[in-house]
Amino acid sequence: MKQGRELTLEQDGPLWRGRFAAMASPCECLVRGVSEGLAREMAECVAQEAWRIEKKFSRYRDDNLLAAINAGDEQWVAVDEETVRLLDFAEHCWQLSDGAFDITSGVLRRAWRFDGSDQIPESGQVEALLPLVGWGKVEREAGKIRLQKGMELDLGGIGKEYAVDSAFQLAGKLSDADLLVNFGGDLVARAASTPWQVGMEGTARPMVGQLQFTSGALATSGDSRRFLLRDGIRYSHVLDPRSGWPVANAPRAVTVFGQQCTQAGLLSTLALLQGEAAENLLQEAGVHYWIQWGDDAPAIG
Amino acid sequence: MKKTLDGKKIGAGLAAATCSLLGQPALAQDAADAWQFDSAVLYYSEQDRVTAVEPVVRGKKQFQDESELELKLTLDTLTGASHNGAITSDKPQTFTSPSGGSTYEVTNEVPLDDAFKDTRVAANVQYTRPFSRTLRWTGGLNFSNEYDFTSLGLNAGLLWDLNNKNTTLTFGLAHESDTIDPVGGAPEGLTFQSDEVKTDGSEDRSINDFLFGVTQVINHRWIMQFNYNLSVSDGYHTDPYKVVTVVDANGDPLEAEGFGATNIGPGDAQIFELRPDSRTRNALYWENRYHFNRDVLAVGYRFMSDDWGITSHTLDVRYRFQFANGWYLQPHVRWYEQSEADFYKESITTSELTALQSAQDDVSADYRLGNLTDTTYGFKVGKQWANNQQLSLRVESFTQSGDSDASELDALITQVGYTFYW
Repeated sequence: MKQGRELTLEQDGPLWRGRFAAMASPCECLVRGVSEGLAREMAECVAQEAWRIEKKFSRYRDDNLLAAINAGDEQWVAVDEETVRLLDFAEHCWQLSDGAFDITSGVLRRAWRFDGSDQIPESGQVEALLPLVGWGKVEREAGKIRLQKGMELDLGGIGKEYAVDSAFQLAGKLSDADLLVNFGGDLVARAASTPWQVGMEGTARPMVGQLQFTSGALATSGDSRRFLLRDGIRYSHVLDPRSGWPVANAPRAVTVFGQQCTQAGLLSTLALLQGEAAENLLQEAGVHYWIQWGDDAPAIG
Repeated sequence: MKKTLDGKKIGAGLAAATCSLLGQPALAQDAADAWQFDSAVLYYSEQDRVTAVEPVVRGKKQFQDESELELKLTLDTLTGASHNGAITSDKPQTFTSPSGGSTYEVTNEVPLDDAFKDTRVAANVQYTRPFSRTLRWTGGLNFSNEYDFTSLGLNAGLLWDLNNKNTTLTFGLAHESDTIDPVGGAPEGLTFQSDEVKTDGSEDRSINDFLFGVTQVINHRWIMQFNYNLSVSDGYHTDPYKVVTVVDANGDPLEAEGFGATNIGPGDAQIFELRPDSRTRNALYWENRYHFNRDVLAVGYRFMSDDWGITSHTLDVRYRFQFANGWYLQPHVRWYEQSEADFYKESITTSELTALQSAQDDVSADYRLGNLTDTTYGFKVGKQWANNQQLSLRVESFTQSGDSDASELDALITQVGYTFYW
């Protein structure tokens, strides 16, 4: 998988822009006011971290740690410290959301394919998958994990945001310069005084125009293009792992502004999972948010 | 119906969980939640005159709802001597000490009142809170106390972000109420110091300020700020410890007894100064900050004009050399020029005194109200760490010149600053 691992560096005034592809997204590392050598070093650092995390936790590979956990042979699998932290985080989100956020829910995709068609699964198909869903069924001991037969973990709901924060943290140690790390629209930035301007163009974000901030993170959950339509009912791709069915009246997309990308990303995900109570949750959380409900203008708070 | 979750708990829980996920140490975990402390000690030393030591601690905290609380505590310790207003003469002059009772004599030197010792304590609280996406309000309280002076102030303001936050408008109002309680009483202006005509009790002054400001992002390198400040002050403005020397045709000090006043020694024709009971100031401030690839240039210009006839210009230039490892070096040049107040006199003649006394007109020989030119050169060097801790040292040389000997002044300013999170 060496192909596609290319990093380009461009200069635009005081701004250095490193570009590469990872996690099926265009990624970039922006640094202000440093030498070309340092800009390249920081961009390399960001790209290497993105590729490392992608390789380790991608569910599309059969040679990584996640594949070993998901092997389905009911064996205990030893996990490293980083994975333990990710699993702890996932468990925390599962608890905070009363089970609405669940990294074992990926198997439901065997029944649900959100391709814009009217292919709603039979309720029997969904029922048959439910025994394989539920973080509570996962066994964990210090440094190891065991899944029941047929269960799978999918860290897709955390991985990209975690990679953004982790890469930002690593590159940020190389210099005190202004820095912005953006993986496909999920981003985190810091600036000493001149704010970053983040444009909304070309992303699925329910925001209009530009957002300006010196430090903070932006993450979007939801995808307005992924849905099923049958008998006039629109089925969102947001599945409730407790029922196996799409969350009723879920927003199409939610964007949250927070301190870290992971925090913002999970908050937007948990809001989506709340369906029509999404806005209420975000208001209580005291963050800035943008919600795309239908085809109308986004709700902002 | 599904039970709804507690968003507040989820928001806080996710922030904490993210920190442990990212392996951030316990201290950093609280960083978003921590108080930022800026502490500094300033040492100001005028040659042969005032020495000031000023420790300052400022604590700042930002809350989840983007409101911000700032607390500041300042302690000033002044020791040394300050000019009493009289001329510098090769003839002896005699003065009374502020508290009365004792006298001192000066020849061939700038007359200084060396009983100058004071400790000032000041506290400020400021709270800023957004009440919509583009509007923030701010409110604050100030308190300051020293031996003969107490000040209580409050302020309120509105900050309005426009144009995608590229423009911020600031509107502010402030009120300050001062109480002046001079040592030995408040002297009656234009009377001879040797007579010690003083009234017991305190004097008052109230100051009202209006501020309008525009901050404009010109482009991603350049930020411009423009402020207008109107300040209207009413009440006691006289410096109770300053005198004006009455001189003869040769410019030598006269004797109080020649005017029927008490004789306390040679050259004792020194009258207490008198200033207007109101002052209106208009000030404009214009600042430009330009970000180069790494360095920052800041150029500020201030223009002030008041109804005492004083006009001043200040030019302040700072250039910050930013190095990649967190070190920075910031040279600083400041130039200040002021024209004298209408009632400023280095000294007065007998006929001028008669005219002043009959009209109860204002007069002061305080060099700070005369023509002045100040220049300050210096630098600041500092290091900022990745965890935002910062240590800095500032050293500046200050030189002042004006019409009188008393205005000639050199001072050294040293400041050590440390910023940390807790």
